[in-house]
Amino acid sequence: MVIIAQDDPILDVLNDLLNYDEILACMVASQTMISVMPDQELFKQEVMQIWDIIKRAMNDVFVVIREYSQAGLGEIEFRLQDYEALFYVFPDTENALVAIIPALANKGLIEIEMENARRKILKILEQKETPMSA
Amino acid sequence: MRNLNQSNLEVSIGLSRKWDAREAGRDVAKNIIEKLKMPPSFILLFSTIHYKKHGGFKELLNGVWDVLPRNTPLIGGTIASFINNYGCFSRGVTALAVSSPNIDLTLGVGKYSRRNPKRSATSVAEMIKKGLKNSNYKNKLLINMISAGKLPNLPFIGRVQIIKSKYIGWIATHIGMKLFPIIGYGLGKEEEIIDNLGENIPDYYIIGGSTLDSGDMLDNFQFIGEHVFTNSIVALGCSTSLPIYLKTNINLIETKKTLRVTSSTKDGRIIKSLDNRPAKEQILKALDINDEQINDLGPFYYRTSNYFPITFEEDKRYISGVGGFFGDNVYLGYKIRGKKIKILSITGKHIIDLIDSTLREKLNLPFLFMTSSFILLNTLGSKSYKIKEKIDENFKNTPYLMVCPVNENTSTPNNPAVARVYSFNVMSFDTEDIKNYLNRSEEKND
Repeated sequence: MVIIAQDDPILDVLNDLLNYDEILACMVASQTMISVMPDQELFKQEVMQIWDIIKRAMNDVFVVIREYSQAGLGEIEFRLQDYEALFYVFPDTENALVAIIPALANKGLIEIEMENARRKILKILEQKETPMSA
Repeated sequence: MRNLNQSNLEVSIGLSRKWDAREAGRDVAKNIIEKLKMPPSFILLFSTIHYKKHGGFKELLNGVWDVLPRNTPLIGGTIASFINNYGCFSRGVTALAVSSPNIDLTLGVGKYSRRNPKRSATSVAEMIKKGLKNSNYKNKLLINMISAGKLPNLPFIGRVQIIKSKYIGWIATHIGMKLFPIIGYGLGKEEEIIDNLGENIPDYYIIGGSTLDSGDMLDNFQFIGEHVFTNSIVALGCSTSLPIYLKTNINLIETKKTLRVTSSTKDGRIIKSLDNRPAKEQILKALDINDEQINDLGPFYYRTSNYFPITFEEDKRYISGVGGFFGDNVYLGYKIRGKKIKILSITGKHIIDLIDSTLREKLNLPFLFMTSSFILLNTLGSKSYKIKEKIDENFKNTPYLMVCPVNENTSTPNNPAVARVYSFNVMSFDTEDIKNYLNRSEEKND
């Protein structure tokens, strides 16, 4: 299941990530659904060729995330063929910010901006939870 | 913004995350100027490489000058990442602006630094000395940005960082190393530049680093005034009554692994053999890497080599990573500084401890301008925020900017110049000394 709200501020954060050459695809997802995903047309074409297998592998990773996020699992990643999938888990939830990058990318620098995106999304989620306090 | 009332020193930090170069330039300039009461005396401007594809660096500077007075001295360049009061970033533009009536300033530039590093450095030193010759202030500071090494992207060969073929490796070692600088590529030769600057202006405090892209080493740019340069050194010379604070530290562990250089090229930039065996074979053996793993260039660096820099028994101030391989030969970031190589090790904890202990040495600084290799942040990745947390522990309300070039350089009148990687450097004005200076001035006036 995919929920896409065009005016969702989380979508802006994800679209911003897609401006990076080395971020091939990204989304906010959990095991049961992709909650926010940019227009797939914005994903780099090379990743679409193995999209189905990546999605299947992602589902398996979300089983682990569901099991251990309450225990403090923060990040998880796997390498599949020439790609790496990075999962930045939102604390105490089953949701994660997911990005697909080339396996040979300069990962440390990408991670810095992934962390910034996670922090921004967390802030947006917090604001959504307390609309009256604004 | 921090106003050190009595000395009229103001410092502000700017940030823009806009993608469009011109808009980002305007944004960062507005950001710094709105926090200052006086016009800035000088500006240090740093951006990541991304603006190359989003309008270009000329437009970035045009945006800055849309807002700021055009005669404000400005230098800077492209860096891989930075940390400031607003966060940790590997994309965006940041600036540090200083306002003070007690500073005289001038700019210096040296072109074709890869081809002729000594001549470029001398040109910078001469311009700075000439520009400040009428200044009566005794404390001298030079902030520099140097064009780092640039890898040639050759047809059929690709990025020339690792050449597997022994024959092409031989050509790169003996012909390429001479040819690349002529066509604007090759090593940055920062150690020659900094040694030369240190000799030419020994009474200066020097801090700076090398400009780069996102670590691919394919492109980098230097900013000075309204101009964007490549293959150059840009420098800001300051003469001031404000006492200068400059601290440089390293925190690396010496492993038991040592290698002896048994053959190198005449210029000392390429090691041909170690312990009478091919240099590449020996380095890979020391790092426990097999030939298959070296196929993955990225992982080789960020999972292995980055954690094991090297130094020389004869001069341990110099620290370098392995630059790459030409056939059986190894090139470092710098000229070899001795015959006995020592392999060092660093972990994320060492990096955090280095920053923490250095910052604790002086807690009442009015601002922090810090430099450290981008390797450190690349190594920490998302955990780079640990560095910010350490800075915020004592300097949360102090304007600060840490920039991450390829390598960093420092020099003080008491410590000879050095360009290296894995060091952490802090520059500021010494608040206690400023207060003493002001008190002395007041006593004199009484």
